[in-house]
Amino acid sequence: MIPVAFDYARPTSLDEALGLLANDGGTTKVIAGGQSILPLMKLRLAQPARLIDIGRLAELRGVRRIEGDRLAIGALTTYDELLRDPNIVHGLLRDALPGIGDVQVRNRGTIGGAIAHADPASDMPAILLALEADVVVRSSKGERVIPITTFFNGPFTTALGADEILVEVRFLAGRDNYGSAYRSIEQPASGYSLAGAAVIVGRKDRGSGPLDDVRIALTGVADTPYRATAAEKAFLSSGKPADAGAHATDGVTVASDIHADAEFRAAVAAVQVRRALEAAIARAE
Amino acid sequence: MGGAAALKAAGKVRDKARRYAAHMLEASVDDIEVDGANFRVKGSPDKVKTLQEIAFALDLGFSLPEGMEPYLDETVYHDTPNCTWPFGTHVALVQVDEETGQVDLVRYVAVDDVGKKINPMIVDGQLHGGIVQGIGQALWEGAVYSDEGQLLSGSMLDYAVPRASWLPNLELDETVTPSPVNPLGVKGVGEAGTIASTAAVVNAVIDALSPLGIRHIDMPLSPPTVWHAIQAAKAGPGKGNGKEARR
Repeated sequence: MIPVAFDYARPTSLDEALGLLANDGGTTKVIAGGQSILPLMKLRLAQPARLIDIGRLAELRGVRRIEGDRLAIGALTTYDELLRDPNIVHGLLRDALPGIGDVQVRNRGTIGGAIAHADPASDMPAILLALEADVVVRSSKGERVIPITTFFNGPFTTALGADEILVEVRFLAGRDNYGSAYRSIEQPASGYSLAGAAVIVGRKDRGSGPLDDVRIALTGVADTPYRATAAEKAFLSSGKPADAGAHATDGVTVASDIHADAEFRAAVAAVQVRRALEAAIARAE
Repeated sequence: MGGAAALKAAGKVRDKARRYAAHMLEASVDDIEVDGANFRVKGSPDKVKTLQEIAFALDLGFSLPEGMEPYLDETVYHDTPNCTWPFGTHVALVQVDEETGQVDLVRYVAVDDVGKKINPMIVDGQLHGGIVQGIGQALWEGAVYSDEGQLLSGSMLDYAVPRASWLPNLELDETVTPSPVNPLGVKGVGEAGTIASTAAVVNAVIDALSPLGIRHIDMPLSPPTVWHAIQAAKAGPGKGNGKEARR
């Protein structure tokens, strides 16, 4: 319950933080809200030699509208700030945000922290996969834009370099003729998903024809969150949410642990996909 | 036990104070009236000693009647002729998601008889705590061990204890039947909640699943456990006893 000793630095600008990281041997972790790294350190599952606290860098906070009808979310934006932001109208975020952690976690936990941490059962990664988000990272050498689809390498591992800080997440603003939803069943002790489905559905031409655009992503089911492309194809060909559910875990090695076996996870993932899709369709109409 | 012993000891202290008040006021013990903390001579309202004055004088012990020891304290040994028997009935209303095995506790009503209540708020708190502990055992709390005996659910991220936000408002009511085995008529309350609630919740889930032929599921009734029981029951009659769900 007590972390091993560590050094602590609190830079006053992003450049200063990047400078500290550039001269580091890879034994440093970046801390923002501390809602994931601190429990891991207290359990001694993580033992960084140094923490760089970027939690007070105002330049990384807040929601902006950018060109292309997109939103740029600063990495330090908390769940609670997202929930209160008038730009965040997406049904799947509205579904998920109030259920993340508890009040304290939502006040401290950040969107950047959630995806940099890359817990395979975290809600936010699946939502950003469905939103086809871009992850903006910066190092002292410059900036990279990483599509979220290539960001998660495995449990708790990402494309983020040791000298990089995640600064922003970009995704489309809410659109007419689109609906989205998030449905999840939680492991009660941790609050993480045993199976969670994020779904966006709509019409590309924004007309009144059949729903021809769908994105489905799952969390808690495998060792990383993933886009369920087989489920998307099944829905586009039949228009039936249950068909998407039936293909929710195609080609995926479904996780099994003390909280839920693979058979249960796969079955319930199918249910969550179907239910999220039904809710998203109702919102799109 | 403790309450009855305290009552008896307080009575002995009061009796000694009354005897000493009679000594101080030069009156007969039978003529001393006790009115709250005031000990006065019957018919002479101005002849009065307070409990504080009596205790102080007895502690000094300068003037003691024949055979009386100083200090105003008494020891009582109390045994009870029988146990007390609090009783009650608890009703749980649950909703089971047949597709996910998720159990939702919708309503919980408890009517308990703990005899006379000395502090009703503490009694309600004991009932709340006990009921929730029992619900936790029914639905969430499970110590998981590996085949080698290693505890796998060793942190609060793995071992679920109940949270207020998962629970409905607990609806409490009472009957009051004083216990005949102690002078206060009180009964125990500490375990009343936890004894009934586990069984009430589990029975409610089994009742909800009884159309499938399910008669038993091992606790805790987590979604995977309930889901597997449902799958086994649907696979064939008599198979839905929950044992298949254990991995």
